[in-house]
Amino acid sequence: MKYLVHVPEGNLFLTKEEIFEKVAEVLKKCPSEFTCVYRVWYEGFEGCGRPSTEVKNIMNEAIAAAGWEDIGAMRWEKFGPIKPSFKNPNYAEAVKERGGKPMVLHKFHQGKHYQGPDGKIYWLPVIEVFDMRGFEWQDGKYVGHMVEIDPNSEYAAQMVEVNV
Amino acid sequence: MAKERITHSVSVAGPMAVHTVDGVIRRVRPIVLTEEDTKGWVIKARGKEYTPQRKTTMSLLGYTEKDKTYSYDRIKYPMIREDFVETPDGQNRNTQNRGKSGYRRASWDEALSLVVREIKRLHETYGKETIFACTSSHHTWGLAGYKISLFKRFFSMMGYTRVIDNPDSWEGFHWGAPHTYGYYWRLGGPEPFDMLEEAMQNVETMIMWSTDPDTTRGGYSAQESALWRWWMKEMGIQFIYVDPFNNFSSVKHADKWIGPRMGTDSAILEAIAYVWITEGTYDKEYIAKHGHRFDEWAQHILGLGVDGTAKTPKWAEEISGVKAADIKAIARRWASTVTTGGSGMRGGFGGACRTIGGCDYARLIVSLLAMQGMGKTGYNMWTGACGAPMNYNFWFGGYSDPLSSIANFPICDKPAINDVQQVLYRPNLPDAILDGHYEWYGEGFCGGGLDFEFTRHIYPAPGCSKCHCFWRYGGSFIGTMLDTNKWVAMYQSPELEFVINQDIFFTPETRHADVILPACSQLERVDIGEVGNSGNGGYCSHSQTGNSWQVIVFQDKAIEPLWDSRSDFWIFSQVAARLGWGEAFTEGRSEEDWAKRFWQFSDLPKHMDWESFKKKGYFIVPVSFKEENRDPKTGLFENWDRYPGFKWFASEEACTTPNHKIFQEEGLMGTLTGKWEFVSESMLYWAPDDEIRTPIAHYKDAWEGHKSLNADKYPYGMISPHPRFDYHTHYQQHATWLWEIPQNRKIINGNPYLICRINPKVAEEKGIKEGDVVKLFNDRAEALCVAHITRRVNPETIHVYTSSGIYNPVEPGKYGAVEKGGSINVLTPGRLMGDYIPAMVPNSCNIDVELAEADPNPGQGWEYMLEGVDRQQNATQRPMNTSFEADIIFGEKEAK
Amino acid sequence: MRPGIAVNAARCMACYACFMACKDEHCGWGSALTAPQPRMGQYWMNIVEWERGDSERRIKTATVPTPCSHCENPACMAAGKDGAVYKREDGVVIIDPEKAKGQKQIVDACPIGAIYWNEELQLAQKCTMCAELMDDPDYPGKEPRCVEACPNQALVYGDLDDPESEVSKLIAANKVTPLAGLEGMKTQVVHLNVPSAFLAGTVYMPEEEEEVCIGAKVVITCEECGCTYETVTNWAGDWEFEDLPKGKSWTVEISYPGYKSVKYTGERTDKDHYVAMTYLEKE
Repeated sequence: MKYLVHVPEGNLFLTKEEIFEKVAEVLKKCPSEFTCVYRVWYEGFEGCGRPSTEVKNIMNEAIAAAGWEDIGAMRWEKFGPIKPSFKNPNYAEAVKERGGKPMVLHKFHQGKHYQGPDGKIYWLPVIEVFDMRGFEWQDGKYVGHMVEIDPNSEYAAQMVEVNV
Repeated sequence: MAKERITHSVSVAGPMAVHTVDGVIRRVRPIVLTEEDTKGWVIKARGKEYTPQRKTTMSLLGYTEKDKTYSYDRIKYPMIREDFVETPDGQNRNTQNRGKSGYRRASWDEALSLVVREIKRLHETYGKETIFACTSSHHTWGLAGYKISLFKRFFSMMGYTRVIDNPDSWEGFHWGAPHTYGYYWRLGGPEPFDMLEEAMQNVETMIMWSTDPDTTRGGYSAQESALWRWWMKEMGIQFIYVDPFNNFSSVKHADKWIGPRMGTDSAILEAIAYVWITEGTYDKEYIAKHGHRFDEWAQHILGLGVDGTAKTPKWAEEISGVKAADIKAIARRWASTVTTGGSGMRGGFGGACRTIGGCDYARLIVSLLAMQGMGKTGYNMWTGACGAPMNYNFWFGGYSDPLSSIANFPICDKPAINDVQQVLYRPNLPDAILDGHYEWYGEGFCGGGLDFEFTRHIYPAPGCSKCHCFWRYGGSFIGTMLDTNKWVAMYQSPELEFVINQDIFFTPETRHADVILPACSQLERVDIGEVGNSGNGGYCSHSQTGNSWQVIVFQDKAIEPLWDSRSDFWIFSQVAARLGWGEAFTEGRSEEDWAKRFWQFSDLPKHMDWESFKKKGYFIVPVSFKEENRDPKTGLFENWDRYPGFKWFASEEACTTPNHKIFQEEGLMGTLTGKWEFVSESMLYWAPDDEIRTPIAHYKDAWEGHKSLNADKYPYGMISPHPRFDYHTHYQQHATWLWEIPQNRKIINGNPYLICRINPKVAEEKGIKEGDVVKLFNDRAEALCVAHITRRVNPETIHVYTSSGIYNPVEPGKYGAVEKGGSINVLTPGRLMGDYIPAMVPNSCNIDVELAEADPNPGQGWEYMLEGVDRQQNATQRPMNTSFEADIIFGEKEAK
Repeated sequence: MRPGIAVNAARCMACYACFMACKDEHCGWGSALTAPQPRMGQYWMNIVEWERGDSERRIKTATVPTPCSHCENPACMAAGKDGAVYKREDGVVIIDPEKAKGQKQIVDACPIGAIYWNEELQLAQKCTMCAELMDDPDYPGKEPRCVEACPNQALVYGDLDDPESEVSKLIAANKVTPLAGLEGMKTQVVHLNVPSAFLAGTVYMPEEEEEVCIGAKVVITCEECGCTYETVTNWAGDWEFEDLPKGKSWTVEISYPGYKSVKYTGERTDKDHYVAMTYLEKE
């Protein structure tokens, strides 16, 4: 059984195994923590038009088989909510393999709260490549001034995401 | 000299220093920098050094602030419509007379009591969602006291049906361009960062397509970018302007102007691509690497696509009226020199993106920029507004920033959340109210994701009741929204049981209200704001770069609120208090306390304490905080942290630009493939059946245009771009000084007619002479204007500026009736661009023109309603200097 | 100190900031040097605008801010009786708000129409170069309101007596173009680069080729004095001679190797003029 995969160079007719291989190859290079079938299709395959349902199902299987964890539905700004979406459980190691320097938005989730080594909790709504800004959370309120946190600092490296 | 007090403020015209004498405004000046203020940047380009003047600028509108503040049409007192009857069931309230009836003066207590009684009745009868409300586009400025802050806090706490805005100034870029190059989070606009320096150092040709930066000033920047364009002009950069109107920037800077028939720009763009493809003069390596399905698109251009038509310059000539030879010459100049250009957000707000083919146009222009390698040094999308050096490491909020709202964390302690899901959509508000049912796609501003463009809306929302009460806050959309008569019909419908208008001026919408709440101007209240800052994480971030100076202003109260007007904060607080949640609304804070919160949660405290900031009134952010970045001789900053827009992509380096997305860090664009999509995968993904926004962008004959059904009857295309002598509708009616500008208006028999521009050939055929009153008309209405005969428009086009501000209909709301105030949107189509595209298309409008026999109703005007109010106010002492007394300035006196 | 304003017409874009700033300063507020300007109807900082060109193919605008020129020998001063108009020591020409009452002839005397009649006060009025502000040690500004408002440095203020002042240097470096009616008059508002007239055109290859002709030689010769100018067509096939002497007749000759040369005679520079879209023919 061969499946149609339409790419700019023309039509490819691939077996399930070939699609699995292609997906694995894309995911190996993928610098992201999260993905979904359409990311692999458009960014990885440079697919033209939507993949057929069969191809989509195979690709989803392939992503799961590559060790990515099914996290249910997730909203993507480009695609809307996609179920299943996947998370790379080995993201930290994958980053190391690629040279160890994750990019700032890959490192911190914008708009989430993080706790520093001194116990202070910060909300991080502003994350730029060149700096990161937070507000200190105390007793259900934001206090003090806007705080500048160097995303590449030792302090930032020790911050962990928390729920408040 | 009398003792003068100087305070500061900021508006869409720029920052200002306000001099007052004994509580009366004496004058309004730009801020002249002192030795205390930071040194500026210096751009070194082509052997010269360029640094801004040591003063801020304002557009002409800023200098009318005093005229406007003391305007004859200020709402002086709370008012209630004369024939309004407070029936217990909301019926039989003489709603048909809205827009015609006069008003009686009321006390604040009477007006607020009525408002609160009605809110309670409406809530009990229909539920919270029955009240809908919307705010203006920038009728005032300040982070605390307006728009997405104060307005949002009040209405979210009360619960209401939100009226979502359309991106009315740049529709095609918003709904179209993201499907070719992403940037939906910048609402379709590119990254202008550090483009000024790059262009000054590298560019040989500027493509100014449908853009008039001297007029639109990068949105709400001041006027200082005009000087940058003179610098560029004087260093020999060639400027090519494309616009059916040889606009005010073009007529000064253009080395070549071409004026295509309105709405045919796409054909010319396709023809340029044809020249490049056939001559091989595009960046093949860049396209091979970064383009998606370019070959299919190229085949379409060459005539090998489904339509089988080669998009030759000759083909484009027939559609656009521009000579094939001229198109070829432009194509070759564009390809053979270092070229930056385009149009769209923060660049031009031009007319072409607001035609039916606006999405095609926007997508084609970015496609062409891609073909020349956008992002390589000197090749970019930028038209000379925004992109000045800026200190991106300094954080201060802007108006659309989620962090800069008194409705949100961290500014307030308890965020305000609207629990009503139902929404309405501004361009079709009247259709929804009048028909009782409306469906559309899209969220208005879709910065949150491509998916936002395709959300399905239905009004009334399932489980929600219809809307019966309109609370209109600030400014007038009669004047900016299309098919004006439809708006009046909405107001006159009994469906609207109660209409509240809260505004500073007696605008065209104000006079359709049942109760009018007079707000004071920003010079009469305290606020805080930065010039031109739309928000660093908000819409089209870092737009402060439209100015040479980054100025944060303590908007001090220059004078006490005039007459019985009160600040919007006071008004909302009063209503909240009477509804029983006043304390929760204010959190015990005064207006100044709220303003201070924006200082507190920014980088400003590191540089200035609150009291010093209040005293001085402004802070100018140095472009760099590092001493080593200064030129040792002059002290000017020759270095700063640069993040040039889109360079990261072309150079395949890590993205460093501000306001970036997670996928940009991976080298991807905001399209589905992360590449330039010449065949749009996002269109194929979301709406493959969209007939207007096809996967391949290309020229199509429009449903209103030179080949549409009514073109024989109405042979001229009317273009109505953003006004040069107004900002939306916010100045023209109030600041009568503007009427004395000959390019703007001409006063005849007391009526300030708007100028329309007509080619001499048309004028001759129709027997029209310079200065004649003419009638612009189609099936929708007639608008009277004064003719200016000019070769700055071609014979197929008639130009009138939109957003008249003055709406002076002989019979309000009647189709076919005459409008004398210049609200030419009585003529424009109320229909949306396409089934999937909720965009308005003011520049696709067919009309005819005739000499008008006479003013059909001399002396008639809406001001008669003011007279009634005026009589009452004569009985009271006016709290202002008599030298500005609000004479009614219509009438014979002015005719001289 | 002889204060003056240089008006660089080449930099003016008619944004009307100067016009509004002037109204903001003077409407409704008087001083010892002037009665208040009425809210409407007077344009002390008038911007004279005209459209340049007789074809859609080449259109420009001239926009020339035209306040009172503060002449060395003002015609208005001669027309005013009882010292109604006087020239201050610094050269600024002032209409006395008391003495000038009823003297409408002052308005008519101005050769550039910069004086206005205030019907209500029966008074001639005009620009004071904001001398009342410049005199005032408490006023924080350093320039007249119009100059301060100009975003483009099209208006520059300073001491005309000081050759090192910005205004003097600007005047020295640019073409002084006196206003019609003030030729030969020394004025403290100095107009620079007010355009005279252009001749322009476009050269195309034979029509069926649909190409512009780049590099064609264009020579114009004045039919009266014989002076000639030469240029070549640019990337768009356009040629242009800017700022030609007005009111002359010109012969235009266009040549390009391998094609017949084309000659136009009697092309006038009474106004800005687009000569032709010239289609070449093979020799």
